Amino acid sequence: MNDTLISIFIKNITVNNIILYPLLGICPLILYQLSIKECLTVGIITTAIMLISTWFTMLIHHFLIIPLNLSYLKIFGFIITTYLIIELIKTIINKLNFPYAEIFNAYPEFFQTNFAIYGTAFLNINSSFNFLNITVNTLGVGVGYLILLLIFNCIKERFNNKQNLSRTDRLLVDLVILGLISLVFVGAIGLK
Amino acid sequence: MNNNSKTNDLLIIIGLLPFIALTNSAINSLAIGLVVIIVFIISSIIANLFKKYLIKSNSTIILIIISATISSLIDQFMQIHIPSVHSGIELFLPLTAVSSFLFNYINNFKNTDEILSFTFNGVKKWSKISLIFLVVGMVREIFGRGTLFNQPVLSSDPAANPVIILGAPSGAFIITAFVLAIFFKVKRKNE
Repeated sequence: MNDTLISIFIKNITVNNIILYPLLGICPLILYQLSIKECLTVGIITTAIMLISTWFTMLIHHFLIIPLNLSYLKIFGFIITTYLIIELIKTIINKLNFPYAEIFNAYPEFFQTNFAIYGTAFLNINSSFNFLNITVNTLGVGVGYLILLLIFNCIKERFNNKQNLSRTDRLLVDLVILGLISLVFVGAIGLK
Repeated sequence: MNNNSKTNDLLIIIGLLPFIALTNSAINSLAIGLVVIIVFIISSIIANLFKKYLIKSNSTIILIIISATISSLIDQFMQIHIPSVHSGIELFLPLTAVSSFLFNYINNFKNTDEILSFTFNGVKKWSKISLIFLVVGMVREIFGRGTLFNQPVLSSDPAANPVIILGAPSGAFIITAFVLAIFFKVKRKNE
């Protein structure tokens, strides 16, 4: 509670990185190999979706679920809201003909079934942060996700170019790489 | 066909990887395994009943409504009857509703008429992965915390931490990789 906004932001990138600490959003990361441009696009869109869905779920939680005592609808409401926001952003990006609009169809697992996006909404509601803290927290989660996407895909690309591994072996190597990255990131625990 | 099913198996394993976060204790691994099986069985049967509408329209939103309802019900049930287990898997329980394993499998499922055999196949596949998670959970709990199913195994001192790294998230990745490697090796030998 005493954390400053900058420390919340930095902690979410390093020690509490969404992929390395709650282990959310691993499956699309291992499933695909992205180029640096694709990583940036996926990371920015994911951060935008996380922010908008967090704001909406906060509104639903504070103005609908708590006053009307509908806590049993929390899971249902949050998941449907987040999914609809993902679809909304997909439609807007497709309509406005943004570059890399096809990324939604090429890598659907990064958006429709990404645990990091859905999990952020639940993590934020469970925390006792206020609106500003939650926004900074979510931005940190998004940037952390983007940084890890870049690091992991660069390592993966170099490794796959040199070694000719089968898909099952690659999965195992990816897991060990993630474990080692996790160890490195935990080293930042002293940051205040 | 054989190659295709191999890829599908791998996709299922990758789709369920986020749940390795819960392998910090054997009870959590077992609980999330059972929850996913229940969500999977009920949603696949309901999806099959509504397959006429699912094929015509955008099926993902309907699948999400079905699975989110079931995970909400399970969450309520666990919160009331087994709160100690519920608190361990609180974050991941809602996320079972949006697991890519469910979507990939049920999307295939709605095109078939054999409800029982298809569900049974899915349960069989998930049970294997669930077993892997249980082994990972047991190894991590024994060496990371010195307990097994919350009973002291290595040391009677509850404060003792034999191998802290195995209890940490990085241990989850590394132990899962080792257990999966053994699983693939045994599978290849049997083939």
